[in-house]
Amino acid sequence: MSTPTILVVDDEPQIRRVMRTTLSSNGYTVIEARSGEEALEAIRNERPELVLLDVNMPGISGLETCREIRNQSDVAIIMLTVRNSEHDKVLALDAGADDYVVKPFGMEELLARIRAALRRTSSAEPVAPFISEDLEIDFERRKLLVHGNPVRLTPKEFDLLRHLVANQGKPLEHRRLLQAVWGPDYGDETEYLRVFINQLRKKIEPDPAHPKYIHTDPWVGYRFEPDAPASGKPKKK
Amino acid sequence: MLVLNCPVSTKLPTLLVRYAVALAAVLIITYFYVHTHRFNVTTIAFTYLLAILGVSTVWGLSVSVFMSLAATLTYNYFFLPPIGTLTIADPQNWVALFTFLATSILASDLSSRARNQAAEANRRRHEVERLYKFSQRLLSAGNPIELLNAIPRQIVETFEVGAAAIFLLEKQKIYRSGMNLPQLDADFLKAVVAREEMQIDHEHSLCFAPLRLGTKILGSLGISGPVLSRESLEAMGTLIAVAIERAYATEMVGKTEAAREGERLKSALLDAITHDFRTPLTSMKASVTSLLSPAKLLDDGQKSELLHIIDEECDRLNRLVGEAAEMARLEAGEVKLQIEPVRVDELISGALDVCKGVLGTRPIHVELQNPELHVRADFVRAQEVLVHLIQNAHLYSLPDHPITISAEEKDDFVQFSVADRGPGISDAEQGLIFDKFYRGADQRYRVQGTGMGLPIAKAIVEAHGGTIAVVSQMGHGSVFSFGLPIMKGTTEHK
Repeated sequence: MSTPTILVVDDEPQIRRVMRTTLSSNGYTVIEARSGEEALEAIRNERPELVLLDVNMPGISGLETCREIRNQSDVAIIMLTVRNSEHDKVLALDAGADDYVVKPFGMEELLARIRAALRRTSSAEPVAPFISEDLEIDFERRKLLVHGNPVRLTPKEFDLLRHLVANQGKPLEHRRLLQAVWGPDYGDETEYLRVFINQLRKKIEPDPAHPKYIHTDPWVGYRFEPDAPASGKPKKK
Repeated sequence: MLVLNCPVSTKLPTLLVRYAVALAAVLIITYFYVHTHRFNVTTIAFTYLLAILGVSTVWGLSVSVFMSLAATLTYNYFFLPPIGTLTIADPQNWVALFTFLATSILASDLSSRARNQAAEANRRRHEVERLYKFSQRLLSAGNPIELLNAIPRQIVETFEVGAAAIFLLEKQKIYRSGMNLPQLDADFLKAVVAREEMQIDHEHSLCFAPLRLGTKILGSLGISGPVLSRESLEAMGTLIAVAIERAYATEMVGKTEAAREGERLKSALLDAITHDFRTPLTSMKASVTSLLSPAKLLDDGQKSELLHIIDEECDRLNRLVGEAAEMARLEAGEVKLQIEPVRVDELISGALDVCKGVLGTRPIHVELQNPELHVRADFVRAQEVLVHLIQNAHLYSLPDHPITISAEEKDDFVQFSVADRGPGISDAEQGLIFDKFYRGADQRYRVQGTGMGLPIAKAIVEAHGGTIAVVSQMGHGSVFSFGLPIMKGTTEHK
């Protein structure tokens, strides 16, 4: 397996220097971009596996860049920012980032998050395809059809859906979901789940406000269970 | 109806002369007809009438009525039979005499009315003109305090009165045109506010009027000198009230605006500080944690690279802290300038000495027509400004492009300029670069600055009473220039 390529997007030359040195010592191939525009071009041309994206940049902002990247690619995105409020985290995740690291950060933490973002659960035991009247999910080929139309999921969204479907009907605790999808270092980042579940619902639910596939079990977590077509109510197991 | 009024402004001696002239006219006509004997009485009556009309048109009713009576007497005495007596034989002649008197007085009255109306219209026009001029002056005044101090003087100038005072209820303060006149006493002014009505004292030539805006009374106005009409006073009161309200409202808007702007700047500043201070910290933290990592993946070259970054970022942080502190001191006005006569050529060569290490082999042109020029400045601070502009020019332009430094006399200042042939600064950015923490959008990739150099330079120049500005053309370069106050007639100082 070739070394994963990481695109570092930051307008600060010193930060790019540190990242280049440290990440390459950890076996990653590093490419750099100084702005959102350069990042989009690099993603098209060099197809990195992961993007480290600074939120605070002149020209098009980090969040805007993130949305643009999501429009054209499933690449894993970790946003780097100096702001540490819940609101800013949600903004970043909503823009399509897989994760979020606050500056200044320790390199070990960043490396752990990079590993988590690059982790794919596809190597785990296979999950049977899920097929209903309006939804078709093929986990082997990572394909999703809603009403027969292909819909694109980011790798993290796909992994989350896969984990939910694999445990159909069982309520899954936040911590368990986070650790299964993001990795063992995670567990308290419930806002990640909130944002990602919302995005999944937007993509697969006919009416995201009244979900018929992904249900919230208050105080526990989330549960994947198709509603019975007639009753319209979730079945309890 | 007869209106017997004479213009107030006509003085008594003038009036006497007029009566005398009117009497003389009657006597001349009488004398002429008495000695010619060739005209009938009707012609004579018409001649009197003509003279009376003429007088009444020019001098008004009182003179012409007097003239009519005199003409009636002479007409009766000299021309109506029996001649030489004031008695009248023929009853027809009584009718003629009274008709003459009535006609002359009525005609006088009509022409005098027309004349008064014209005069009145003229006076009103004049008043309106003065009120207009007054309103223009009031609206051009600046802040409320300036306005309040200026109003009494403007009343005196515009309405040609002796003295004026206004009393402002809210501040309980009186503003006067000149010295304190006892007639325009504070108690009178306050009494007008309490009564809420105008008071005109013809005897002492005093007028008082409330400053009224709708139903609200802001204060009062007192004028001594020629008495003004009620309409004028009322209009003045309202105009002044409007002007005062307007000035306060404008000031309020300005304050709110400034407060809002201040808040915006503060939050932008905090944002900038967060970003600018955390950026070097981020590089340092990432480098250090990487070096401390137990995994030992770094080779010697990588370790050295990270250590260099830490070293550079420490310096950068130190510079940032220093500049932020300096900026804060300058803004708080805590920096005392050591003003002394400074030779312009020494200032420039001093700054170039400081920059020597940075500039390397870059060509530098110094254009100085008069090396004897002196400025009044704090040598160290002024040099700091020049050093910063030179370093800036160096950072933002290619190494072989020359930098031109010049100084020339301009009014009361010596204008220093530092010109580069860099990429130039867009119009939008020219307004921002003197703001704290702002860095040229495209330049942030290449140049390491703290974004505080230009604001500091600006603060220093302004502390000297000068200004700093930039002129730039995209693709052709930028010229930063600033003025320091010139020192005239000094050649022997340092």
